[in-house]
Parts: sequence; C-alpha cells; structure tokens
Amino acid sequence: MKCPKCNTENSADSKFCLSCGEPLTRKTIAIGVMPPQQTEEKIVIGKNYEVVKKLGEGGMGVVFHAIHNLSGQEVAIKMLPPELSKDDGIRSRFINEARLLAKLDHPNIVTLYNFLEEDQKFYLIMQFVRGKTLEEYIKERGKLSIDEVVNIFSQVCDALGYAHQMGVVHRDIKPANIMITPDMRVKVMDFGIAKLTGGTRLTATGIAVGTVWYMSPEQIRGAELDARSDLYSLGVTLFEALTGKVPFDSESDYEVRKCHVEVNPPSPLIINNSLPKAAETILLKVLSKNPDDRYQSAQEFKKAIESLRSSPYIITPESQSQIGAQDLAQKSKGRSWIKISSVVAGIVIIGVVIYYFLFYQRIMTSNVSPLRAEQVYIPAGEFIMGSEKGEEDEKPVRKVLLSAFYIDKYEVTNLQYQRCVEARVCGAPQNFLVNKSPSAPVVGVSYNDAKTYCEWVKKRLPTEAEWEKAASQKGVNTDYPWGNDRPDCKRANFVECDLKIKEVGSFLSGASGYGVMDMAGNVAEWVADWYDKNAYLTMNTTNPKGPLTGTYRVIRGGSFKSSSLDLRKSNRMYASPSERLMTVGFRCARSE
Amino acid sequence: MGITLHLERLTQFSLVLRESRMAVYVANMSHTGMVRAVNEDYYGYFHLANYDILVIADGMGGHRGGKIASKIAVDAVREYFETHLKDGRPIESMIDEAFGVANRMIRDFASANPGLYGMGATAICLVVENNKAFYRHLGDCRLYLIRDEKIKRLTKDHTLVQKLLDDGIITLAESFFHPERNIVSKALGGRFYLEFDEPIGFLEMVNGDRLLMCSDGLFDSISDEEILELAKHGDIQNCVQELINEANRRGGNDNITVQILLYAGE
Repeated sequence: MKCPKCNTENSADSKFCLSCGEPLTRKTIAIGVMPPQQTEEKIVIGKNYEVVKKLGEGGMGVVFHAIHNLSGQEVAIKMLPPELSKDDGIRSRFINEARLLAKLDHPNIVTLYNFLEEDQKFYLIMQFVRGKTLEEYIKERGKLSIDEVVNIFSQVCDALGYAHQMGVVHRDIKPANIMITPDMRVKVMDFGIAKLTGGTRLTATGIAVGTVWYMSPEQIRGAELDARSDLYSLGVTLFEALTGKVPFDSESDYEVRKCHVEVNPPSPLIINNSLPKAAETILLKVLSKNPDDRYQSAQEFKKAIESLRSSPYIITPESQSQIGAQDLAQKSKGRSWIKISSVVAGIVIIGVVIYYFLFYQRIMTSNVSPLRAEQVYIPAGEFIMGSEKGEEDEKPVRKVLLSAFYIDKYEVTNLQYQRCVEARVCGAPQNFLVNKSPSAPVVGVSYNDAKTYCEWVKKRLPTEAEWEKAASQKGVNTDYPWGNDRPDCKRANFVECDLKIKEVGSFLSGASGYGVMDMAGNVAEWVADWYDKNAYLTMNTTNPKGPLTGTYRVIRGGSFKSSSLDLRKSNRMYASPSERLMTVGFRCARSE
Repeated sequence: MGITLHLERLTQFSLVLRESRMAVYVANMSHTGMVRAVNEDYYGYFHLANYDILVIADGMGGHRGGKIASKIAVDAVREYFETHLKDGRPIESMIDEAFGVANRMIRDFASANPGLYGMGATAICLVVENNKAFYRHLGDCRLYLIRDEKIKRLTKDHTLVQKLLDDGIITLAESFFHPERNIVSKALGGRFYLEFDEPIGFLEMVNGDRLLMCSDGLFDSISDEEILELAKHGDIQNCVQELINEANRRGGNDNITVQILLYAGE
C-alpha cells in the first residue's frame, strides 16, 4: 500500500512505511454504522502492543508510543532501521548487546523491557517516560541555573555510574537523550543503542547534524570507548546547560570533530561570566583530551558537580549585564526561599547597577563607529532580470523597474566587519581557515549577521533585483557582470583558479557595467529576499522585494569554489538564514 | 567518426576507432552485490563528438532515494554534455557545470518529494579527448591509473576518515576499522549548491594506459594492489568481470560498479 506521507509503495502487509517509518493503517470494511475512529485497524507490534502514535525518528530508527492491550502498560517502542536486520553479523551483535541492556535496572535509566523481532525488523520495548528532554529544556530556557544543573546532572551521574559498573558505555550522551519528568526526575535514554546499531549512520552526508557536538576525542578517532568517554560527552552537555552554548560549534561537522581532538575548549566564563570559577575548573577537567586527565568515574564527576552549589558567584560588571530580568524571574520561579537567599544580595546590587551598566555600555558602543565603505550609484530605470539560458528558477525573464539606489562597491571586509563585532553589535564570524587579511571579504557570517551589520551602518542588504542590476552591463542582458565572455582567473576567482579567497577589488577587469566589483566569484553574497524557485512568475516588476516568507534566503554571485556556471549574474543559490558558510559574505545597499 | 558497439545495459563493451587511428576501449559492469536488495549504483558511458564520457554515481539515502539519485546524476551529466558540447567551452568547465546541474536536479527532486529527503549520490566523471583525460569526483567514487604494471590512485576520497588521516588524527591502520568510515563529506544533492575543494584532475595518457573508475563496493574489500593484479593485463571486459566476482567472493557487502577505459594510442 502507498505511504500517505512519502508515497512509497509498500507491500500489502507492511505495518510501517519502509522509507519513512510512517504507520500504515488499513481501513476495515465497516458493517452498519460505526464511529469513524473504530473503522481503522490498530497497528499492533508483537501481538500485544497497540501503537498510539509516532513520537519521533532519527538516525537510529523510529519511536512509537504504544500500549499493551492486556495490561494497559504504556511503552515506547523503538523500531531500528530495517537495513540492520539483513546483516547476520549485525544481527547477532544486536542480540548480545540487547541482552546486556535488558539487565540495566536503575531509577535514572529508561528501562528496556524487552526486544523482539517481527517481519524482519527489530523492536526495542522500553519504559514510556512523560516529560521533556534536556535539549528541549535548554532550548526553552537558554541556560539553566546552578541548582537545576546540580539536580539534573547528579542524577545523570548516578545513571552512568551504575551502567558503567555493569559494563555498559552509553556512547551517545547528549541533551536529547536525557529525559526530565515533571517532578524533575532524570531518566537517561538509549543506553548503548549506538553500539547496537554499530554506530553507523545510515543517512546521507550531513544528515546527522548535531551529534558531533558531544563526541569525545577518542570516539572521533574510532578508538575503544570506556566510561570516561561518556563523562566527556556529559561534560559537553554540562557546558551547554550552564552557558547555553556547546564548547565547539561550526558549520562544518568536521571542524567540530577536529576541535574536540586538537583545540582546548573556551572558558565557560567567557560566555557566561556569572558562573562560579569552580564551574570552569570542572568543565576544563572533564573536557580534557586525554581520558586520564578527566574525572575517572561518574561518582567523582558527581561530587565535583555537587560542589558547585556551594561555590561563590563572581560578581563583575559584565556578569551583571548578562543576568537579565528573565534569568532572575526564572531563578526565583519554583525555587525555595533558602536557595534564593544565596543570590538575593547579588540581585539587589545588580538591580542597582544594571541601568548604569547598560547606559555605560551604550557609551562604549558609540565609540566604535563603522568604517566607511565606497558606494556606487545605480540610477533609476529598467533592467532585464533573469536568463533564458539559466535554470528554471531564473525564468521567466522580466523587465524590472528599480528606483535609484547605492550599493557597496566591494563586499564587506574582515576589517569593516570586525568593527561591528568590537561594537558588540555583530556576532563573531564563524572561524574558517580562510583569508583573514583585513581587506579580504568577511565570510562565515549568516544572513542574520549580514542584516545586522548593514543596519548598524545605516544601510540594508540589497534586494535580489538590485543586486542583479548592479551586477549587469548597463541596458544589455549579459551572462556575467563584464559581458558574455566566459570567466577566467583575471576576471573572477572561481574553481578553475587557485581555490583561495582574494582581497576585495583584486579583479579590475571583472567589474560590472556600473563599476561594481567582485560580483562574480571570490565569495558569494547574501541578499535580502527569501528564496522561492517560482518567485519570478508572480513578482512585482517595480521594486520587487521577493516573497513575504520562506525557508531560505537567496545567495548570489558564486564563490571561489563554484563552477563558471554558478558565476552567472542571474544564477540563484540559497541557504538557511542562520547558516554561516565558508564561501558566503555580503555587501550593503541603501535607497537614494 | 567512430563506431560504438553497445551490448546489454548491465554489461557494456564499447570500441571506438578514430580517424587518427587512436582507439579507446571501454568495458563496464555494475552488480548489486551479495547483501543489498537494490543496486543504488548507476553508470553511463557516452561517446559524443570526439569525447568519451564515463560516469559512475553511487546513490545514498534509503530505500528509493539512492537509486533515483544515482540515475538522475548520470542522466543529468549525459544531457548536459549532449546539449552543451557544441558551445565549445573547455571540458574542465563543462564537467563542473554538469555536476552543478546534477546537484540541483537531485536537490529539486528531493525537495518535491519529502520522503526522499537526504538523498544524494557520490560520483565520478571522466572525459577523454584524444590523449587528454579530465576527471572530477565527489565523495568516495575513485579513479585509478594503471600504467607500467603500477597502480596509482588519482582521486582522494571526500570522506571523514580521509580527512582525519590527512590531518594526522588517525593512522592508516586505524582508518581501515574506523566505525565511521562510511561517512562521505561531499556528494551530489548534499548541499544547496555545489562547491569544489580541488582543481579538476588532468592526465595525459600514453599508449596502454588503463583508467579504472569504481564505486566503493570494489575497494572496500579489495586492496589497490589486488585491483592492479586483476586489472593490469588481458581483455578489459574479463578484468571488470573478475573484479566484481572477487568483490562478491569477499562478501559483496555493497553494490559494485567498475568501468575500465583502455587507451590504445596510435
């Protein structure tokens, strides 16, 4: 039967879609008048477990909420990817591991009740836990208070300590695997599942996003793992809970891996300097590259975490600015007065100085002013947008009328952008191993960063139409900014050159008809519009601003890693607005 | 112009003779292997104008996605060359452009079919014009040169393990058993737009050169030296068959696709 979600054809007796795991329900023939909900046949796993709903899916399989039809017991059932059951080696390893996991019995561990094999698929029958994951918790709250952290993490340590004694290494400790019940009890999920499935990610490149954030150095090397690997991963989780950020983050999973192996983690105090000094000491120890330098057992780590509760807070002007009103509200919500009293003194002082400090900061900010950027005037008038020779999303070719505007002659440089970072307005660019020269274009900035910068310099991002007009020859629709000749390394920096970012203005003969530089190649550029491949069909032909909403923002111009085809002035690329890419920078524009 | 012989889809053998008396022979084959239910590899060999174009794509992304992605990849490359060869642009640009189009087509197909999210394909494309060979790979499809009884790997895999190896984080021995050795870092359909990390490959061929391109199903179980032993002599169609048989004898854990081009010179 056909899957309602992805249209995959499945065999008639399939209970779940082979492609996406969606439950496949079959209608039974209704005799007489029956309520509609009874006409659907229930999905039953292992004779007795009736599926209530799908809870989620990931690289390790699909999870369902189900109820035992005799005892009424609620369970979570994890269906492992069907590919796994076909390999005999994996199958026997699975059974061995699952037997071990079924022995784990601890109040802070989600119990594995049973596992079964049906229709050539493996199912794990697990305890059903109501609550939130730590991941959701951190997402909602930004970061957690010391008290919450101590409460949650000491319970996780209890779970890990027990499992490690039983000879089980979790291998995938991360906030998403730590459940917190409404009464603040912790249940660690998915013990050893990573080993069960061989640690293989079955999806294509770049899909397993996020998991590398918590990997230990020895895990990245592919070495044997012991308890201390779990402690490292828990250390990353602790770092995130205390600061709201993981110690190593990058657009590239590989950079994150490399950092885990080679780079010392930043001090958590830099991100959240309201933390006690002891938090830094604990985190730097547990995040040691060498397992011998870490805490050697979960019990030892637990003791260290518990000592945080009694650690003095450091009060600095900067830390005061970071404890916002929201934090304070969160801290007092649901906490006992005794706990609150330890921070009350600090809060009062903060309350007094907070306005002063904000004011002070504003003065500081105004001292760092933007650097001037040369601009080019693009007079009002019509131009031809799109290309008949291009992709479908560049059609139909339209005459578009634009009001006059100014656009930066060059992309925003590292030096210019740095000023905005120093002014504490812009976020730091993602640190890629690229040209850091002050006059090289800044990259590793998201759409949101680019927008923030342009607003800081009292400009805005150019619209897609403005960008394309500025990249054109006056009045003639050419393939490239300089005309129709195909790119060479004198006109533009692209994949056929030496694969390095050049300083802005290095390609004089690549100028557009208006004298705007570097529109093709070197680094691509964020523009203001949302991406929609059908945008040109419906767009306004006077000062178009693109679709009102979307998922991706448009990127123009191609980069030093693009083929000549992507350098065409009408070529449209796109990415998620929060992505910081190694090949994408921006320039600003303003209306006349 | 030359003549091209086409046998059945699964096993092609082509002989191209040119006015200049240069000869290029191509043999190819793809096999599902002994474990997988579907063959997600796809390959193509096209002779257009003065060019011999060889492509292999190895699909990824679940039950249907991989098979579709690899077919889109090969078809897109073929179509691109058929349409644009007459434009007279340099071959090296055209290979990148063809891959760029294939990337976009896979991505668009996936975004129009939510169940196919994450589908992609690793790929290699080789274009031969007279004695010049241009090649570009994405992911872990490989190209080898067999010359003077020696084998040389011309491509460097875009894989996590290769990067870890390059950066000295793991040793060669560790790389063979790394639990994440199946993660590729570059593929068609993997990103919103395609970027290349290295210049396009180029080789001047000499008489008797054999260029062997394959999907990872071949070299996962057979070492480079063993590939050399099986491919350096004799009828190239037999070599292709032998390589695939050997991979299957060793478990055939993955789909296996091999194409060999023999350059017979003047």
